[in-house]
Amino acid sequence: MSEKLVKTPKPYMNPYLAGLGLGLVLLMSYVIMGRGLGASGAFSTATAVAINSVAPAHATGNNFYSEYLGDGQQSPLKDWLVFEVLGVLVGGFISGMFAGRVKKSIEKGPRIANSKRLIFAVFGGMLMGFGAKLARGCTSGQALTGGAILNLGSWAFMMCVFGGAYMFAYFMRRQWL
Amino acid sequence: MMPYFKFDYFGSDTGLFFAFIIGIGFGWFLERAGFGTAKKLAAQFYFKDLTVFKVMFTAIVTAMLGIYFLSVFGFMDISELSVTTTYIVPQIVGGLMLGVGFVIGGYCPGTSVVACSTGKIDAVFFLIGVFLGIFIFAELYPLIENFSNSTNMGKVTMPAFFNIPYGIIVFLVVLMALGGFAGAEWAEKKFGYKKVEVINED
Amino acid sequence: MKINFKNMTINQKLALFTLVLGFLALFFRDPLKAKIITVNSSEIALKVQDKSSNISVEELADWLIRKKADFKLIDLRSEAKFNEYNIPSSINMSSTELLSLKSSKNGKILIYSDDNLQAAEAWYLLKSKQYKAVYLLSGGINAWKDKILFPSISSNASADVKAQFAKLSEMSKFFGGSPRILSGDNSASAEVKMATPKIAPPPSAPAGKGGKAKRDGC
Repeated sequence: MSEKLVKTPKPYMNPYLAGLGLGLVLLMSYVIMGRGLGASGAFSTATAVAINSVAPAHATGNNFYSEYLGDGQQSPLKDWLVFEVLGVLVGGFISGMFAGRVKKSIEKGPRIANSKRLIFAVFGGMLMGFGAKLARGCTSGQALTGGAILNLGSWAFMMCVFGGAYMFAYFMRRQWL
Repeated sequence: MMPYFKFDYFGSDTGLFFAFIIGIGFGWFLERAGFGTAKKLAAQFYFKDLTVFKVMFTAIVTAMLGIYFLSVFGFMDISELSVTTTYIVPQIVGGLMLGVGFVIGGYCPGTSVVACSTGKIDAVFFLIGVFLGIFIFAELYPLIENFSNSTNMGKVTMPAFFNIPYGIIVFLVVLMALGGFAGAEWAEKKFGYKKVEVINED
Repeated sequence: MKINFKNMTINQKLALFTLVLGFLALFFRDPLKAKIITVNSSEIALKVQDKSSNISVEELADWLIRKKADFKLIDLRSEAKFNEYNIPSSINMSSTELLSLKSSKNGKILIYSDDNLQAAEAWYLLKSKQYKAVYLLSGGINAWKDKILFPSISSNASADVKAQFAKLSEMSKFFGGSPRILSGDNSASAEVKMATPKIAPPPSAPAGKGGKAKRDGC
């Protein structure tokens, strides 16, 4: 029986098997490239390129931007992480499509208005972007990637991410529960 | 000899191709695990659904064991893997900010990309926030550069720092992860959603 | 308690498998510390003399004049000596820095020192790190000074040798040296007075791409 109107999305994968798959992808990345995964680095490159196209003098004068703009030998967008994140976009979409989970929605608990949720999303994103740059990486680039090679800073970082989130979770309960 | 790129099996342009393929795998498993929705991610922090912890640590343990055994059997040169430099205080502060940002925003940069690709509007807003955050960081960079580059400990791994053999750390991480998984299963039974199938109502 | 593998859930199987692997990890040598290289001293001695791993100073001079840039020239001497004089385009590195050298594994690397043994050791180090094209500058910096910077010829040499010397003199001038014509016997005292040419630009700027390397990482 095929219900065309109400498509029930497939249940998610067993988390341990998904983790195993993710771990093998990470291992492949190390085996092939000698480096791990990442995400926020690509956003930094994109930000630097955007600023550089609007105000080139400002961008090259700033140590942070210029680090992501490289030496001008080739386009800064021809970057490993930029291509990897494009892959993430495609991979996520393919998986979501096969599972019937591609749908326009706003993810939130039942006790919060859409507009408020979106404001929180922007604000949370800002904290993330800032924090990720301070910590030299996000959950993928630092915690996962550094975690697998037992990087000291990555493990300290990972503990702090979980710690910070659990400490602050109480204040955000209306958004999610 | 692995890693292939570091031993010049191919150039950086081919590397970009691999980046794309690896990214697809990364995105696929993130979405499969349910990381494309903030509700599932945030549930981690209320002990309702500990998928984030389970997936992350299974992935770390898998890759760690793979790297370890490939190295000890001589297939891989572990010293060629890129290790990011540890700046301990900025990383602790950054980690706390990320944690707070996670529970407010509901995503992390990687998962927000997956959520964007599956149509989550809040993830698009989150991503805009990430760009803003990086922009603010960059504009303030001259002021915070000193702090950001402080407490540089070099490229240091736990076996080197604690002066404990690599294999023992690997074993301890495995024990910690398995103990954590057992704890996670217990916590989900106690605090979790009462066996309602994955919620996705409108 | 009886454990029946068949009745275990997939999660339990995975956990058991991981535990076994983690336990086995205890019994292997630390891969970070497994980088001990055993070096056979007689083998080193042979390597230093082996033509296939040596590049002569004339050849190097020729490369530099023709502005060939497909190789990395590494000076292993102390920083003080390096700052005093170094072969153009060379970079200064200690043996320990060499361990963390980031360079293409197929790229040509030419090393020199004022000590053959030190250079040979470095040669081994790089070879053990899978660098495929590592060469020694035959005779090191001393041969460079003797043959390229201050080539000498005895005044009663044959025309043949003199013709060759003209070419050498040109090379020598290119690198700021001065050819010498020795009268009669080889007087060792003449060498002492030779001042190495002053190096005008700061030696730390190697030829090649300027600017910062792009940041790598998340």
